[in-house]
Parts: sequence; structure tokens; C-alpha cells
Amino acid sequence: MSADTRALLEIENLTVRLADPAADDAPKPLLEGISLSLAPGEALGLVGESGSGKSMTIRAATRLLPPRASVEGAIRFEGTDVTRMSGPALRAYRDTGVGMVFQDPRAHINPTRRIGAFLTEALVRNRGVGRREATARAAAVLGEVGIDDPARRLRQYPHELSGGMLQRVMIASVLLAEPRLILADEPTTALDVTIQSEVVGILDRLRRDRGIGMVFITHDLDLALAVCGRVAVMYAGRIVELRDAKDLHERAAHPYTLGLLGSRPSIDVRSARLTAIPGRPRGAFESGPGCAFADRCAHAQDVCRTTPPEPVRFRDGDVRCHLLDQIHSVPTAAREGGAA
Amino acid sequence: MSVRDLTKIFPGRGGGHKAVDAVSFELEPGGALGIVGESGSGKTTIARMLIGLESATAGSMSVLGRDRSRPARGAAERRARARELQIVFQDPYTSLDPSQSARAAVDEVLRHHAAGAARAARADASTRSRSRSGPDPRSAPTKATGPTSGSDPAIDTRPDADSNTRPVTSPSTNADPRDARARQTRLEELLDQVGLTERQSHARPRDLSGGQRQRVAIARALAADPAVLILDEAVSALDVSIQAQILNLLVDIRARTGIAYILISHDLAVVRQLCDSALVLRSGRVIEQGSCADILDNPAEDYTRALRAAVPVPGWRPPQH
Repeated sequence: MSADTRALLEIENLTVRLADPAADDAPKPLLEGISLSLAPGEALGLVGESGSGKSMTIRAATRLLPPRASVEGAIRFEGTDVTRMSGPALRAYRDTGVGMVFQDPRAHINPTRRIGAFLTEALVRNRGVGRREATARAAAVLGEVGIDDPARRLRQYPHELSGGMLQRVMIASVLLAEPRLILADEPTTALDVTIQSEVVGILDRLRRDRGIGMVFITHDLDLALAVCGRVAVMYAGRIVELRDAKDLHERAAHPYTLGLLGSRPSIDVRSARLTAIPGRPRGAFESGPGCAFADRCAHAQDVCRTTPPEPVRFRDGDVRCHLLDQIHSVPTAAREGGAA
Repeated sequence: MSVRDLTKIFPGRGGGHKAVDAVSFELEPGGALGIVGESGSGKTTIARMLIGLESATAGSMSVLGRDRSRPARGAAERRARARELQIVFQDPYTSLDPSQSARAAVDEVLRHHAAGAARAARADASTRSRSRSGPDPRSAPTKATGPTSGSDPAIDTRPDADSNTRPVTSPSTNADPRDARARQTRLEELLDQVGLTERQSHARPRDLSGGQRQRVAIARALAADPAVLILDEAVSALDVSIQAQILNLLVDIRARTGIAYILISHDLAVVRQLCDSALVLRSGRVIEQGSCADILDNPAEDYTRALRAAVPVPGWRPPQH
């Protein structure tokens, strides 16, 4: 992947390891060779199961890793290497460069303070905005995220708001800092489906209107495809497939991506059997020397167990698999011939 | 199962909160009913009333013609109800005993029901006019009861060790080695049915993954040989690939055993995969009910349509405001 000067966020060959002081073993890998880039206003989805490294990737991007973690590779925000930022630069980056939205807003809002205090604190303390002006801005942003009667909400406490409402408050707090990048970690997973659709609708509109870049983490592949332009499928600390969301359903090539697509039941038809992937998802530290997916893959051969696959260009995406030509040889030619 | 006008009012200000409002449904033997709704719709309260964790304010519930609207009287009735209805919860980590291996957890239920059945049979056959409930029914599930006095259930379940070491002091209790063998066979069958390996069956919950723990919870529920199994968001917390495995497992079990399911879920695709009929709940009231395909393909109510439209599917775009 060549260095893109216009990239908002660029991660190049990021490897994160965690040392275990209790054991003499070599540090355990959490992420291995993550490379991705995000343009201003673009939305990129990170999709995967437990232990795939989705959250770890954005924690690395904000330098929120555990103290015993070692980082290799580069993470650049607007061209500046995040891993080498000094104290003030890092603070500025976290204050106004990047905003984060988490799964459980209740865990990230002080329950003893009013919504108004939560929303205006950073403006007043860090940016020297007057209290009255800060309150006015907070009320305006609440309106923007679809909250009626903002003045009343500002006087309320977190427990008086529903989970969906509180997630909007969380998004409002991020917007007040006017970041160029939003990192959203399962922002709708704890919400009812109708509320989820409203919240992703809001995120989507803000991204378009304000040109904010967004990394959207989810376990729900279809949700990622709906919200993001490109999607990275992660497994055991690696990106195994990265391609445009619009044609992932038709052109997915990695056996794991195909497995994920087959695992989800459809709302339209009942299938006799879902094409379940055997075994359970692995973390990077559990995988052997070869392809981390080899022990669950129906196609795996000797090379898969010994040699880690490098990303290759396939059907206009980047895919880490040794066997793409074999797996997709005949049907691909027929389908692509038919489509062209 | 038949449920009529089931209602739950939690006491509180202004007449309390009506969590479940006159819900009625029927479930035929071997059927599968999905109860769909968002948070606060009353789905879990219905499940809790069905299994007797919560009393109903009004209405009736029965399984196989036996009423369960009131609390069970005595252990025998509780056991009988347990054979009618079992439940698997969303989080198997909090519903399994952390100190008990998978094997022991399942065997405990088998032994409990075997002991109960034996006692009931004895009471029926007995010419002496002993109380039906025996000395103390509540001691039945504990390991100290009966001749199988070994403290480690993993040892108990080995038929050889069992028959050789068992003191034959009370021949009238369930000491028949054939029973122990039958139970052992059933234990292996259940563990095999839910796809737990030998090694996993000896592991404790903390050493198992979420999917494996849910397999233990399912095996434990099936051990009572219930007519109906309630699955309360039982696949919601699982990783996508594991969820598919458990869904396939549940389809297989139903096909093989003829068990009936009540699936409580917010996930319409999961309901479609597993259920024949469905009811949509909102604020404790049934909004719509009928066959699963009808409700999802041709929803009659706006609320059902909105629920359906909010599900991300291929080609779905978030709503623009």
C-alpha cells in the first residue's frame, strides 16, 4: 500500500504485542501487520468476531494500549506519526483530532453530573469557551443528533435518559470537539434495532455533512456494509479481506468472509442449514505459524499451516489467502464472464 | 402449551406498571414460536412467568394440559413441571455453577429426575401409607441423598466404579446398577447431542468459550427431557460463527426429539430460522401474531413493518433525517 498524502488516518504494517510478566514466553501478538488508510469523509468498517483485534486497532490508533504493549509499524494522523507524538501533541490529537463513541454510553458518562455539565466541560475547560456560549452550542448539537427539547435534556441526569438517547448525547459530545475522525466501537450493539437504525442514520449524515472520517467497528457485517464505503474483515489480529462494501456480498473471496456471510440467518428465507464455520474464533496469540484461519478452513492445505499468507489483490480487494485461485477458479470465471 | 390472557402488573405509583397485558398463544407439540419485541416489550417477563420465577397477576398457563398458573406445591410437582418446561438464558456464564464441570452439571439434572421418578414410583407401589413426598423432598437434588454418596459426580457417573463400590445397604432406593448405566448412557448421549467433546465435558465454565457454555446449558435443559424449551435470547450474545453452529444444533435437536421451542428474541432473522409461528410484542401487548413467514413477509401492522425495515440487510441504507 503506497503512502497516501491525503489520507486522514493511515496505518502501516501495525503489529502490537503484549508482554506477560508472569510468563517467560515471548510477548503475545494482539495485532499482526495491520495496514489501512482512511480519507477525510470516508467510512471504513472493521468487522470480526471476539478476539479479532477490531477494538485493539482503534485503541492503538489513539495510543490507548495497555502499558506492557509494544508497537511496531506506523500510525499516521494527517501525516503525523501518532506513535511518536509528544504529550501536548497527543493531547491535542485526542481532544480535537479524534472522537470516540463506545458500545455502552452509560459506562462513559459520569452518572452524578447533568448532561449539560458533561457536554460543556471540555469546551469550557480546554477551549476557553464561555459557559453561556458552551451551553448554547451543546443545545444546538443535541438538536442536530435528533434530541427534542435540548434545554430540558441538558438539565437531566444520565439515568433519566434511555440508552438510545444517551448514545446520541455521546455522539453530541464528540461533535462538540469538532473532530476530523470518529472511531465508533460497536456504537449500536446495545440498542434496539429501530434505535440502531436512527443512530447509524445520524452518524452517516454527520459524516457526509461535515466530512468527518469514520472507523466503524461492528460484528454485524450487513450493518457495516450499509454504513461504510469499504470494509475490512478481521480475524485473529489480521485483516484477512479488505474491499468495497458495495460488492462484498457478490465478490467476497476469503473463506472466512464467505463463512461469515453464510453464518447469518436471513430475514427473508429460512435455510435448512446455515453454513456454520467449525470451531471457535481465535485470537492472534493462539494462531500457529501459518494462516490463522487454517484450522477452521475447509480448503486448508499444508502451505496454509506453515506459511502466513500475504495480502494479494483479488477481485479488486486485498485478501490474505494462499488458495484464492484454487477456491475461486471455475465459478469465478463463469460469474465474472457473465457479469461483464 | 396454552397461555390465556397472561398479565403481569408490577406494583408502583399510579396503579403500577403493566409489563404484560393479556397475552394469549398456543403452542402445539413440537412447534416453535418466536416471541419478538424490543427492550421493555415484556418478552422476558413472559418467560419468567412461564417457568415460575414470577407470578402472574392474571391469566392462565398450562403445558400438556397441566395448569401452572399458581406456584408448584411440593417437590414432586416442581419436578413434573421441570419435565414440561426448561429454559436456556442469554448468558450461560451466570446460569452455570462455576465450580461444576459440564458433565457434572448435566448429570445433576439427570440424577435429580431419576431419583424423583424412582421415589414417585415407590410411593405409588408402596403398600405402606408413607407420605408421598418422602422424608424431605428438597434434599433430592443434593449429592448426599441416596446411595450414590461420592462427592465427585465425575466419579459417580462411571458405571464400573459405581456398581463396585456402592454399598448395598438400602436396596429399595434407586441403587439399581441398570439405572446408573442408563443414566450414564443418557449423559453421553446428551453431551454428544450438543457437540461437547470428552475434554470439554470435564472442563469448568470459565475454561469454556461462550458457545461451549451455551451447549452445556442446552444439554442441561434437555436432561430433564422437557416437552418445551424456552430459549431466552439464547444465541444473542454469541459470535456470528458460533451462533450459526448453535442455531443448526437447535434445528437438529428439534427434528430429532420433537421438542417444542419458545424463542424469545429481538433478532428477526434468528426467529425466521428457528420458528414456525411468531408473535410481536410491544409494551406488553401482542401487536401481531401468526405464521412466521406471514408476519415477516406481509406484516399487517406498522410497528412490525418498522421493526423489519430497521434490520440491516444487503442493500439496506440507514434512514436520512
